[in-house]
Amino acid sequence: MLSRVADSLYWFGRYIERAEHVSRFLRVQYFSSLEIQADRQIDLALKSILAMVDIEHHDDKLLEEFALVAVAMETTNTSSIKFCILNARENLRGSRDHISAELWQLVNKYYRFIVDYPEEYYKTQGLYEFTQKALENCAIIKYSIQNSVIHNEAWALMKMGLHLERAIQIIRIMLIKLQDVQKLEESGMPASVISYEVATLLKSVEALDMYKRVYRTSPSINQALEFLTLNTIFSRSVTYNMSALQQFLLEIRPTKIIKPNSVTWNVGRTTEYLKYCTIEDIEKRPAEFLHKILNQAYNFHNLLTKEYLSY
Amino acid sequence: MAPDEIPALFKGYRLEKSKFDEVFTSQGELRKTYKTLFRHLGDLSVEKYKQLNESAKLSFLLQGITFATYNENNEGIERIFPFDLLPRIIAKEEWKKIEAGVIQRNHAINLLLHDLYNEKKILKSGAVPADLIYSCGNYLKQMMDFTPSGGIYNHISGTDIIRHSDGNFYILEDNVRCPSGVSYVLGNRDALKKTFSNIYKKLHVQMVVNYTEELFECMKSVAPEGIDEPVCAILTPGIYNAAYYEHTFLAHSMGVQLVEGRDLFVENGFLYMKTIYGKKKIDVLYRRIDDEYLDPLAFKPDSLLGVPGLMNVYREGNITLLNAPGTGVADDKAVYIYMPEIIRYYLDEEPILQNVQTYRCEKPDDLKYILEHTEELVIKPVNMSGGYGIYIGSKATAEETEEIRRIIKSQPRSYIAQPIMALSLTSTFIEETNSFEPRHVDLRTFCLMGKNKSYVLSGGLSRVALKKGSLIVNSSQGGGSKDTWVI
Repeated sequence: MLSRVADSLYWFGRYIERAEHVSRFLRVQYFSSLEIQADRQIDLALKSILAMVDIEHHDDKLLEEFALVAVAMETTNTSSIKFCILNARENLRGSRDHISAELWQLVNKYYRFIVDYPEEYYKTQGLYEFTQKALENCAIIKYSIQNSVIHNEAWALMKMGLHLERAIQIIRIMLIKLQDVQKLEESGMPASVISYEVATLLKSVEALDMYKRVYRTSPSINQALEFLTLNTIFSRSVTYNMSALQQFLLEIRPTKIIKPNSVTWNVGRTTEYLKYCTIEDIEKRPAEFLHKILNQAYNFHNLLTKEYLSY
Repeated sequence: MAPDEIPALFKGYRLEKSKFDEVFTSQGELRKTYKTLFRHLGDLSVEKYKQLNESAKLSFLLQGITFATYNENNEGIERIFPFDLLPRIIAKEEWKKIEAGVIQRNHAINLLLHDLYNEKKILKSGAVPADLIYSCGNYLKQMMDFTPSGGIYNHISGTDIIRHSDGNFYILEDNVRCPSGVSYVLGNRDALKKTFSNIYKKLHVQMVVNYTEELFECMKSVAPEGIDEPVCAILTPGIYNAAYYEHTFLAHSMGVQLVEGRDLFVENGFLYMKTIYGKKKIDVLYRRIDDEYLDPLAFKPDSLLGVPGLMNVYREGNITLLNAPGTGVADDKAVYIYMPEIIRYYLDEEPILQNVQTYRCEKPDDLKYILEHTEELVIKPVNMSGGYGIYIGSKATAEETEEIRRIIKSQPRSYIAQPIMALSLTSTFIEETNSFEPRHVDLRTFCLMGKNKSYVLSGGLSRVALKKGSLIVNSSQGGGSKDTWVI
């Protein structure tokens, strides 16, 4: 497979996964903030939404309209939903001879939906519908990746993009929400509000129901961090996705030898480390721990690009 | 079919009696080839037809059978190639003649190219003027004294054919560089099969779906000597090229790599692509970029689309390029004039399909005639495609006529002139009026020439000038297309 095509497929996977996380985060944060009718809470949610797409906003009075458009429809922002889908499609266009016609049509359909969605309607009434459809499209596309493409290198590269991006987004969401929870704790909010905020974190990665099945208790920040970071059998945990990335790297490696400092070697080390971590390793300095893993994930991208995707 | 049996959709169809209508006779009766189809259309209402048309268009859009115009904004406005559901039908007997004529023509072109780049016998004989060839910008010195693997230059040709008011087919021009449009033929056929499945089955329409298989066989047949399992690829300028859909379609259908110049490099006399596991040699490259961009060391030094050193690999016989560089000399519109003579010279046969009468601005007698009859002629640049730069006397203003006279006097080698041919008409659904109207149509045929085999795609692409009265059918100039059924 051409390195350029491999790069396109990998980025296609990353953009689709990113679009899904941004869409869900936007929807969950915005509608959860409406539950608690406090300006502070809405402001916190809007700032979190902007943080998800790497926009810092220091104004006291944040314009809701600005935040909602920046995250969904602003094409100058490299994490907005629209940017992700335009680029997912552009990347797939460059590698169409490796995928099924069905997958291409689904991506095209998603692209048409995003491009044609009226911005004014979105700003006033369409937020739920827009994010819901965006999520549905991501799910259908991922189904098609799994079921309409032969499970060869092309598929492995799309999946690697998906898993690495998912691990990155989950860590970023945890970091954003960790900050929100700390702010609420510092301002003396009752335990119920804190717990609600942690539930919002879990919902933002579609993990609340499975969390309840595992812990059978009201959400707490430490347990949420443990679940989303270390669980080995939940597909939305960091360890699970690192492990999946490791498996795909083992599948596509040209030889059986794993060279020290290669991407496969590095991902393997981090995955094994995570598998044997406990919440005690995280809870003292959770942000530091998460930042360390996030930086490793960024490094995996650089190594992967250098070894397989440079052209 | 009696007039009262003509479907409701065609009531009010304004027949132009002085021209050849593909669907109706000059008496307004339906031609034999269309009778079964029209019986099937029956009482189809305008609304239902529009619905079918819209659904076909949506299917094109979702399949990405589009061309993008990136000059409007950087997201690229994607448009579908306008398409009319009503097929153009050609009788099998007529098609046989077209097919034989196209093969004859392209066979002669191949012999011409070999001769021009080697012995130059035809120039020495005087059958074709030497100065005409030497002054052609597409005659490449880089191809001198070289014969491509398999002896084929014009592996893929797009011969444009028109039907005149006398009912006969004529060759309007040859395209032996990178003719495009075949993916639209296959896309149109797919849409038609879904929409008119019953009638399609009944009429036993000749198939087109085997084109990509034939192309793949053609590519493999001309692989360099000694390569049993050649690695084939298609070279595209990239996703922003208007024909990118076609490039991906062909690569996907044949299961070969679609590469860009940046994926390739030359090492030790061979061409390689950069893969995730290192380099991989390519043996046959169907390039969809023009000669001048192929190799910055041999042609345009600032080209980023090609591969430095590619021409050396080619001349060493380590790669086959489809089509061979330098084929453009044969589709020069001034060389076209000599095609009947070229066929006689190499094949000792009379041309099966005739040329349109053509005048060379370079010849003093012809130029005199052209200047005296400018308003009755079509004047075309010799080396352009896509319908660009064409002057049509009957539609031009006095200023435009004066301007073209000035241009052809100053650059006579660059232009030819032809009588305004009455291209045949075909019934086409016009969305603005919600009715069928006659529109001019031509036919682009697709011919493949492999080592020991020639193949012509049954039917080809019928291109329709959607603008009323227009004779320009190119998609870049507001043309649309129709599926072509050979029955």
